[in-house]
Amino acid sequence: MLFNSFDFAIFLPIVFAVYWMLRKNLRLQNAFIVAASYIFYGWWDWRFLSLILLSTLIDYCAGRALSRTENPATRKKILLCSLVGNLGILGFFKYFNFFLDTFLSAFSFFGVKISGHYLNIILPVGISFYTFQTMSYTIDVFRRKMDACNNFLAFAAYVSFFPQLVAGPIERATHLLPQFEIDRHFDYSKSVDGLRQCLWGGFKKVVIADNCGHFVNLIYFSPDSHSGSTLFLATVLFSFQIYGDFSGYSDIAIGVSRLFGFDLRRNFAYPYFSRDIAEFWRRWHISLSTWFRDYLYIPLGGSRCNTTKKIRNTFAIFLVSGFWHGANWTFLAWGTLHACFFLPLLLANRNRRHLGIVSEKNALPSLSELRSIITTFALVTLGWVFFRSNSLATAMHILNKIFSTSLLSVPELPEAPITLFSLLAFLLIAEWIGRYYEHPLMILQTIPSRFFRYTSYYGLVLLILLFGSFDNMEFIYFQF
Amino acid sequence: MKLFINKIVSFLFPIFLTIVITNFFVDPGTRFFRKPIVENKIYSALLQGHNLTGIGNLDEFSFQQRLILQTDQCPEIVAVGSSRSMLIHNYYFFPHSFRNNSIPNCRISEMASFLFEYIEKGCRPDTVLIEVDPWSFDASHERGAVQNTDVSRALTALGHSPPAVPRYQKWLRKTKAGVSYVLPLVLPSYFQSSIRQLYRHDTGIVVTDQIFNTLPTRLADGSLSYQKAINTLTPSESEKLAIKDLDRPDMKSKITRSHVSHETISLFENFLKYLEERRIEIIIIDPPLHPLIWEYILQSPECREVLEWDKILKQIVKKHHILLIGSLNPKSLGMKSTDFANGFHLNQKGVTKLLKPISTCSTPNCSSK
Repeated sequence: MLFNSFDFAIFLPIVFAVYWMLRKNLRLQNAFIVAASYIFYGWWDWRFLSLILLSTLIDYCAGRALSRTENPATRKKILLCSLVGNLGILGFFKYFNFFLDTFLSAFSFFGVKISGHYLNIILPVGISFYTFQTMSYTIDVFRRKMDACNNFLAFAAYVSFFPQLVAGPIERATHLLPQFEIDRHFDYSKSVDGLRQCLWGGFKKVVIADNCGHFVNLIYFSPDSHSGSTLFLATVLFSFQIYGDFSGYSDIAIGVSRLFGFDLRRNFAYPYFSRDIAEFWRRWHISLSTWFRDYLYIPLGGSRCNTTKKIRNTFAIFLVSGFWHGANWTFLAWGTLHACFFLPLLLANRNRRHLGIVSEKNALPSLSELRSIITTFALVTLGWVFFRSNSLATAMHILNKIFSTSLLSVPELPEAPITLFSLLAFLLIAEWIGRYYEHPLMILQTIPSRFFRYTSYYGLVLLILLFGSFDNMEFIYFQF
Repeated sequence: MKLFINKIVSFLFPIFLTIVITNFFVDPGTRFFRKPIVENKIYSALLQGHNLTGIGNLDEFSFQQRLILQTDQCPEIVAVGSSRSMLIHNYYFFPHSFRNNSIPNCRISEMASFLFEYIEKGCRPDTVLIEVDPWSFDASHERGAVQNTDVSRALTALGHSPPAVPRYQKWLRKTKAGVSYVLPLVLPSYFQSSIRQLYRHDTGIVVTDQIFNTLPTRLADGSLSYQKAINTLTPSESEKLAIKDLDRPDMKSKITRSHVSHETISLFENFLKYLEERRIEIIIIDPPLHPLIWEYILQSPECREVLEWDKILKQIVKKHHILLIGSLNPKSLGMKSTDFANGFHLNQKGVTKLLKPISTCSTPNCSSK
């Protein structure tokens, strides 16, 4: 079920009403969340519900087994079983054909022709998200950061919680699981803010991402027949598309969770206002970056080691992050590129220069800040060429065209360019003004004028109704 | 909680009301307020032999059914099929009389019901052109056919009596049909069309004798002609439209999720037998897909079923000794992107090329001679 679908518009109020009706019975409430989440997921393809259930069972049992033993060797074996189980499912569905293809290509490169059977399977939606979420639980129990959960319903609800099931934020068990084990109470202001965040997320998805998406898809489908300037414009618009699409989803997920009394972690913090790549990665897909930081980068030694290891660790985290996104060399190239952008900052010990809010005390950025923001945006946009292309050859072809004289030609424009560019400007201005808050509409709660608040809400709804794209375009991150 | 719900309802209610009222009265698809006015105008003009341009949304099944019942003409050639055959005009078969009863997303049972109507009223055509698509053989597609007594009667005549439907299922179907009928009232996309309609200097429906106009035109023979611009697309314009189709989940799912069902094939063969028994000549038309869509199908494992389609169709026509025209593969017919209106539909140039083996004329000039 898509957040931007009519089905969800009916599903949500029903689930909301029943959920709060059951508020006096925590077990029933959790059971209801599991049922609702399974319906939500099964709406897409019910056959893959078994995978969620399997993943839930593996980690629940692993957690219980870990709690029963103090023997380090046994504990390691249990952890290994859980990791093999989870990564096995992920590897089979997501990476099998990729590895087979690479293997066959490598052999044919050396003149040996062998044949292999590709699997005719579709990738289950959100598999990378919930697999990482369940893995974090077992690892945390293994590290004794938390006690094993002995309430299966609460655990199943934690794994399948529908707002963030298919595209995150990837929640940590230490943060979300305890929320399923205590009574939830309806909080008026939290719910209102949740709705505000949903509204902003909906705007970013339906108005910004989908409108940019129509043009981007058109141009990237046949890059050969477009000039460098058009490809450049499409790539810039893709930057906005992927941001609107993914952060919009996260905003709706967080907002919907708030309606049910849950707090999810922030996933985006105005990444396009970052002043360098290191800051960008602290602001983009935060739940995944911190996952890799805590479960991969730090165990490898992090940045507190010699230069060679620092380089190794940086490449490891970015390559794995790229590979997490998809079984394609383009994602590995995207990860490598970001590692190359990030490494100079790390080696020069300049990766933690920008920890605060940009231009915190000023209304506008200084010239040097603006230059840094634009440079960072340009680097990130360069990376998106690899992310969006179907193959490395296509990505290189697009870059060749962009960095050619045809960049100076007049680009083809999307439909209603003035409207689209005005909406992008509105997005940037609103996010700039609201950069002190978790989401821009949060600023409205500080404004005493009710008239102004409601005019803003209605204005935004009107923008969505008038300029939104309602052809149910899927979220980009569903494929990961 | 009460305060929250009250506030939500009082916030959403004006929005909901505005959308419903605008959609009902502006009614860009002529489903609600403008429906009776528009329909009367359409039928009276078409039955008098005129063409109409500027028609919005039509209940295509009822429209064709009503035309079959109301017209006194008994056509020698009848075409049935989906939107992919709606551009087949009468001048291709001049001097024979012709009627096109194609409707978008047509199911086999619906095609059969049209022919059944003709034969029931004592009007047996000499030739029937049947346009078929792989997705019209999907079992779930067939289940979604218009559920009315005429379709049921046609199915019975073909030996496919619809199974007895439990009362609750009938109720469900009725409710579903009712909901999908009123759904546009609350749809934001319909609201966007309403707003555009308000700003457009729309002249409404225009009665004309021209075939090609600046808007799509419904012709007196039941067929359709696209707006003039569609027939003169450049290759890149045509490719853009094809890519747009691939972007649309409903269009893409036609080639990715269709499974040719044996049940529907057997229904189709019974339909052919029904026509053969009445000594009606059958010609099957398999229009090609846009070269870009065809490339996509060749490269996507999820579209394998579509690749099997041509083979299945060839087997059927061989078995029944029927003439087959076309193929999904555009290259095998020498079709280029300029022959297409979008990813799934030919433009008039493409239709002319496709019908070359059977047409007696390729321009509207013949019928005016």
